[in-house]
Amino acid sequence: MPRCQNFLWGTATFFLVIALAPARATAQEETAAPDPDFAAAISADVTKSPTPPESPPSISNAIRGAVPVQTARFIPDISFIMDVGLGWFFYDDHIRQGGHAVDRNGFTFQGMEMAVSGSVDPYFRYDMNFEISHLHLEEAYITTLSLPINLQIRAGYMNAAFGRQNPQHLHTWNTVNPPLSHTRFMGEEHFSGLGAELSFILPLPWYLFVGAQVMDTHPETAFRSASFGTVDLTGAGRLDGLEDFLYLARIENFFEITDDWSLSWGLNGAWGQSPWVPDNRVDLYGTEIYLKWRPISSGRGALAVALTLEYLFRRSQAPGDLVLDHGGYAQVDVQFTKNWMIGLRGDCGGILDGVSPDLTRLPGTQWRGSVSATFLPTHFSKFRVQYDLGREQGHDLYHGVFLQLEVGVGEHMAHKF
Amino acid sequence: MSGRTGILLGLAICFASLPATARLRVVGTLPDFAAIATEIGGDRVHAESLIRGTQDPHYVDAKPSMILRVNRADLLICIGMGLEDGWLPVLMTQSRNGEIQVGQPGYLDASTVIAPMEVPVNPDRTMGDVHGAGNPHYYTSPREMFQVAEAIYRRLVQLDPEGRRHYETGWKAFEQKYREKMTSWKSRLSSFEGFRVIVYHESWIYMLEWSGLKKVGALEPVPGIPPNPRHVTKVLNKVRELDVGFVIQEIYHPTNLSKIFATKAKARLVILPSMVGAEPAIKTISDKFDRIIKLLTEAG
Repeated sequence: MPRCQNFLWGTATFFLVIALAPARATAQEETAAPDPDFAAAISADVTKSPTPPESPPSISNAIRGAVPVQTARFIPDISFIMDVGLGWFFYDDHIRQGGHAVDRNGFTFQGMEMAVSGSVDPYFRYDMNFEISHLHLEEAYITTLSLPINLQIRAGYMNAAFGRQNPQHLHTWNTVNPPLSHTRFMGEEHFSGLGAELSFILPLPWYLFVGAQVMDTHPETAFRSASFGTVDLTGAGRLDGLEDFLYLARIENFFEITDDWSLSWGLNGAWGQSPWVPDNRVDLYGTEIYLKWRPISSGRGALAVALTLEYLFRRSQAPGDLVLDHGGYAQVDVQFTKNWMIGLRGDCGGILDGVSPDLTRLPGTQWRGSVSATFLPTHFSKFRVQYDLGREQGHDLYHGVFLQLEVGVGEHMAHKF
Repeated sequence: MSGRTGILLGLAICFASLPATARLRVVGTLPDFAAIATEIGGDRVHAESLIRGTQDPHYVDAKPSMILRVNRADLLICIGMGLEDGWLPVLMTQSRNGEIQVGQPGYLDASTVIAPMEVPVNPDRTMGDVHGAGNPHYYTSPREMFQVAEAIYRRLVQLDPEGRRHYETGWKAFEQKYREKMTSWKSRLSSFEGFRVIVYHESWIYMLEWSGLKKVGALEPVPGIPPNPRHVTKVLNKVRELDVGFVIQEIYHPTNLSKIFATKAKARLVILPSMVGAEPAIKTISDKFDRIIKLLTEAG
């Protein structure tokens, strides 16, 4: 009970500070009482925003022929994105929340990402994401720009092109924490490694992407995965043959059903060595559907509803056993305006057959429901509140509340669909 | 089905979407660019756009279907000045098309042929969603779009020199008609010279300067930040004595606030098509400006 009271006091203080901050700022401004009709009209437009600084921007009106500041563009695009979370679990024995998530009571520095990108030359583009707060490389790779017959190669350290969640960085999530299936199959961080990808867009009337990746599973190349073991498990401690690499394949279809409706469907497979038994194997399969409605044809493009379904199945050779497990999530995101969105997610996972060799890394049945609301003052900042309710086999029901703040400075990076 | 039949069927599917006579595939981020390329290039050009005329170009999903369009393009025409930074670079990278990358002949940043306005002296995000290279909404002005049309004509000739005569004919017809139209548009707006205007978003500065209308305020406190009651009240108090003629905005912004504001400011709210395709009847760049001038003159 005292813990609960502390949380309530903390939450109340948090909201009080937020509530008072704009009041103090506006008290210093010109005291023109806002017209109530405008407030009603803005409410009817379903748009709300905090009072921004109203000092006149230092823009030179109608300067013609001035030299734009972007003339010298040899400097790569750089941005820094910070995520801070505040969480409270109402039962200590909660489900493991995954990398970048708030996993304990109080404040958590979820991430401080530096993103750098730019053209190398007419043939290559370079992208890099470095996680400053945890001092590790998220991704650093080159992409070819002009190979023949629609081929493209990516090479370097990168996230596995597997499903919808794994390639996404923290700032593109619509929730405070990753899906349970991500942590179960991909790991605390991203499923990633040093390697290369060859992909192809088929010359068809619709978008059909076919790609294959190969990754080095030596521990010194910072290979990360919850499903696959590193090469030291072979006993030799080095790559002895082609079977020691990790192989991935992905097929992605995209259908622009109408201007307003889009559907993406992906199929994924990954094959590598088992983390449980040297020279044994693990197969991981997944499929995902992303359906989005955004009524751009009627000029209401600020409104959007998206449904994500992702399912994964794993077949692991464990000591004296073959373990089959699966998991997935369904998520609905509704963007009402440019500033407000809500999300609903249902998560589950469990063992279909066999006995888990390690219940921490390969847990039994678990499920979770999450609901979130996000306020986005601009492209570059967001506030999120989320409530989770979940349970893991052998444990009690738990629930938790999270607040999240995200800000980004620098170039606005382009995001994939 | 024999193996040979299967291969032929596959090839037929692959090339089914290729127009029979088009020599150049042009992709414009805006429908305006595609419309101009079609008007000048005729059947020698197959032009399409990435976004719709009803869409806010600041907020665009980088759909994989767009990757396909960019992949097949001989010429990519973009607004530039950073307006498409949130979605176009990823399409260009994933397109695997070396011909349309920055610096290649197949890449035309249309902003490079116009004189930029509202170039921020010291750009900072406290100014809102401003662009370092200046205000990118030049496509709402007939004068700037004429310059863009000429650049598109020259680039078509450069990419398809065999069609020079064809493009020259198309350009001359376009130029003559457009110049006459511009004279007519200007003349019809002459009685509005000096009219004071409130804009919703800073999308009309080029248009206003060309037409002689005068912007006296904006409903957005800074670009990209939605209006709030305090700011809008300040704007109303500022313009109450100024005899504001119009409140103008694009079709994709909400209208409740603009209607109330226009009533209180004793001005007329005019919702203008900022792009080709914003209304079903607007098929060409001239249609767009015909409609804009008609709406303004009727409201005046």
